[in-house]
Amino acid sequence: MTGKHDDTDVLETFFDAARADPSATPSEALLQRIMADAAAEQFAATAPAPVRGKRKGPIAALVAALGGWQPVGGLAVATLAGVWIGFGLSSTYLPDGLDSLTSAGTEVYLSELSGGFDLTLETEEG
Amino acid sequence: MPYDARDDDPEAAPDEALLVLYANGDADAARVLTLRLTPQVFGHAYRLLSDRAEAEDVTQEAMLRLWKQAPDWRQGEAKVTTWLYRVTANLCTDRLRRRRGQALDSVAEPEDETASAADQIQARTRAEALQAALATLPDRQREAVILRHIEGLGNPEIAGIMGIGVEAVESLVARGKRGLTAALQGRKDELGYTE
Repeated sequence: MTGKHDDTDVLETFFDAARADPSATPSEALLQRIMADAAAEQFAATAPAPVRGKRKGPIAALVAALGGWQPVGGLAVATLAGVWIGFGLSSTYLPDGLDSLTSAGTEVYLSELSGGFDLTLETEEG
Repeated sequence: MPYDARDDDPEAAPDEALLVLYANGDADAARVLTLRLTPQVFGHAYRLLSDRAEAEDVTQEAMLRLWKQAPDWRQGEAKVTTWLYRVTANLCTDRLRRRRGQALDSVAEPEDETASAADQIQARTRAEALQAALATLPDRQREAVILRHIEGLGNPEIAGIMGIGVEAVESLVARGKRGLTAALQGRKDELGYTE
């Protein structure tokens, strides 16, 4: 007859054998894989966010702030056109052209008349 | 204090403290945790699955989940080992469900061993016989018996791992042991024990 106590004793020898079973021991390769996983996860969690591309120089940063090379090109063309128009049409509005603004002893008054866009230029020789 | 314990001897630091150190970038903590916890996880997975390759996959997955969980680990809520046993059992249960329908006699046969000593052979044979007998138990009984009698955990911790009460654990263990005894009964001559 097998009693409850005997069953436990018999099973205990099997449990002892199971605890000592080398099949239940992890391989060195598994330990290495798990440590590699740990390192990868640790790196992913602590590494700063990757920087896309190399750091921009001051000119590139300015161009980027203005919206890229295309808008900057348009801006340059508009600036040059303004200068050209300024010089080209200066004789229409200034007697003697730009010389009247730069000659010594000349005071130039530019005044706006009410009700229109006409400009009256008055010069006074000093 | 976790940091004091670690400064003195990382091997002596509790699992929870090492996990915090790991989350803070301490590579040594990962090494100590791996060497300490992997044998427990793998042994449990192997005994539940009776398959080393599958047990290795489950162990790597369970440990990976621990590494991912580390930054959000809330100290004091659960022991690391309790959490790991639970994750391992769940992963094993998923695999056992996928296997369902497979014949019980497909459990791996004992491998040939080159051990010369008779007692080593007998111990090995008994371990294999127990493994085969465990495979015949219902999943929950098997898990409870392994945790109680092979992993050596107390009933309250087993209850926490399995999400049941202590009395239910005692019942599962008792029924599991009766099932093991019955399964091993027919092999008593082969296994070298008498009643």
